[in-house]
Amino acid sequence: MPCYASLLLVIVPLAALADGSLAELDVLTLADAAVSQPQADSPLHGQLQLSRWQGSQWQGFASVRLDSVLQPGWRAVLADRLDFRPQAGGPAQVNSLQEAYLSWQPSPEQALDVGRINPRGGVALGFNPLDVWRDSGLRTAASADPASARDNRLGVVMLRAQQLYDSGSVGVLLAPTLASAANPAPWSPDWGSSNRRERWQLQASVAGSGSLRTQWLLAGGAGEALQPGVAASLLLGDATTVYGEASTSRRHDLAGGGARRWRALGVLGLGYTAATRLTLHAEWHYNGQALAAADWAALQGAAYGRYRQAAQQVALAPTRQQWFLHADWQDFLRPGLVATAMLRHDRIDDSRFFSAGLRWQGDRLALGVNAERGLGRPGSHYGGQALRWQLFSNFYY
Amino acid sequence: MRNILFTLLLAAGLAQAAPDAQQLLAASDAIRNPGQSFSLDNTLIEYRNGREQGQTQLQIYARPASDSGQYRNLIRFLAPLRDAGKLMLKNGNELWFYDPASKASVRISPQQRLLGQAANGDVMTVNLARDYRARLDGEEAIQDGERQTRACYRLALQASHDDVTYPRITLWVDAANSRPIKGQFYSDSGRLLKTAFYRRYQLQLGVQRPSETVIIDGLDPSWITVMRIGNLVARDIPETWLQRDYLPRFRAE
Repeated sequence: MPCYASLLLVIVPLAALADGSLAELDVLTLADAAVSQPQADSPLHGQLQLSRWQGSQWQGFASVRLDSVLQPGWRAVLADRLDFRPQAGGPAQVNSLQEAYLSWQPSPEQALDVGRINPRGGVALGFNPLDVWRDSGLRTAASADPASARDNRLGVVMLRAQQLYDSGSVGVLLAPTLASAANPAPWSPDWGSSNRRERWQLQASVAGSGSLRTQWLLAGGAGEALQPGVAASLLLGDATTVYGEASTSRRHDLAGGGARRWRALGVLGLGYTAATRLTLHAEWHYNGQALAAADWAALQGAAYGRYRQAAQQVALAPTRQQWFLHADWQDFLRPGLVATAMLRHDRIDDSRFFSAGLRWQGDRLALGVNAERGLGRPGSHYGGQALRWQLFSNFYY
Repeated sequence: MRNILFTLLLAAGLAQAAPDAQQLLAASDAIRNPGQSFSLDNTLIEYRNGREQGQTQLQIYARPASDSGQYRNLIRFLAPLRDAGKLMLKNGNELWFYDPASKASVRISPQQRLLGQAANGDVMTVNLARDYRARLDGEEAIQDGERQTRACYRLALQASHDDVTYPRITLWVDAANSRPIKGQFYSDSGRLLKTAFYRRYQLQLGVQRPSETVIIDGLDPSWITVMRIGNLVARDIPETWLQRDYLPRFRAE
């Protein structure tokens, strides 16, 4: 009987929906019938994905993240991802131990972490000059989405200490050498990809006046030049954020040549959200370690291949300037539908990379389609990539 | 003596006829929010055109700011599962969103926050008397959230500065006990953004407080959100929790 009563309570207000809305008192009747379905607070979450690119076989991954409080002040974090990719010419499974660390926090202001950690610096969306750990190693190919590379890379084994203040923090990160080379074995923790050399980082966050927030960084390591950096973000009005970040270090260019001089990395960006639930980001990316335009245009053959590989290894663009545009439209056309689009425009060789996606997302399941295409002359940054499609489904647990 | 008594009665009568709107607002705030740091569980059930679209489950940690007295919120997502573990920090208009998958703390604008269900949580944890000038706009008998006719004071609230989500609010408070009954939240241009019914009053932290708020979207009236509050407890929220750098460290104990 209570079930029937509940049904009636829902049906009655539905009759008032002819004009797409409910009278206020009908809304209350609808609310009377609402049933909460509490979700248990689990320390374990993950994702299963099955996807297929046009012309390829089905592939997928399973990821798991455990974030558990062992006892007050002690916390254990484990993040792992197992990729299945049944293509010829490579292992069918590749496991990535992304994070595994123990955290001790004797007080709310002090923390010490040890283990494999994936720290993240910077405030921009498409490229982070402050993210000095971005070359820590991807064991599987990431999608064009910049978040994909960040989410899937290996963490770095390190000791991290942090002192927090009311409106900022200071921290130190120390990473030792654990192996001299990457280990492509499917189940290897691959210490060589993440800890090929000793590295360290000092960082501080400071609240500026008004809505200005800044991050400061000084990084270095064995055989590496000092790398200072700064990031800042600011709120402009109700719907716009402005941000920028830059770092610099004395080094040769990505090809290993050129004079050893200060070479900067930088981003300037702007984010805007419209009342229609559309969020846009526009960023200008600068890579002072890349070759000059004429040298890039002249690269050919093996030298071209070596240069592209060197840029890929340090997760930097092969040219000096790019535009990056990103759009995310929640509830596009109908509730639960999300549309995304991204454009990378290389200002040096005028090549472009487009991607667009549409996905429906429920509480546990997302289904979607992505498309991407590169445009440009052969040998340009994005040239040579034909249009391709991907179908995917994600299951969250 | 008779004259003094008459004067007092007249003064009392006048006072009753025209209560102080700002005090009414402050009393109404005190019913919605404890005056100290607290945490609560918040379940948001979302309907479109009468059909349930999904549920969002949040844990909200709130601490009054020492300068503004306004609440600073740390909001943790438990459901839907695709958002589990994500955090949002709200310190006035400074907003950060943290995703444990990417470790990214992304700065978002107040407009961007309004797109999510978490924004509805703020309808609860806002001290209106701090940010708005209240004017008594009249007395009115309205249907409350339980469909009972209730004698109310209608308060017209005007934001006293720009750093608020809703520049103008109409709030109906119970004439008998200052309980908030209904609110209408407007944009700068006078557009109705939200209508909220505060209802299902229960004893929480020693005071009868609304345990449920029914929110009707002003731009899309077929979009209804039922927001339920539970497990309201007073607790210490350290100042260090309420900053961007703490987000990767936060773990509810």
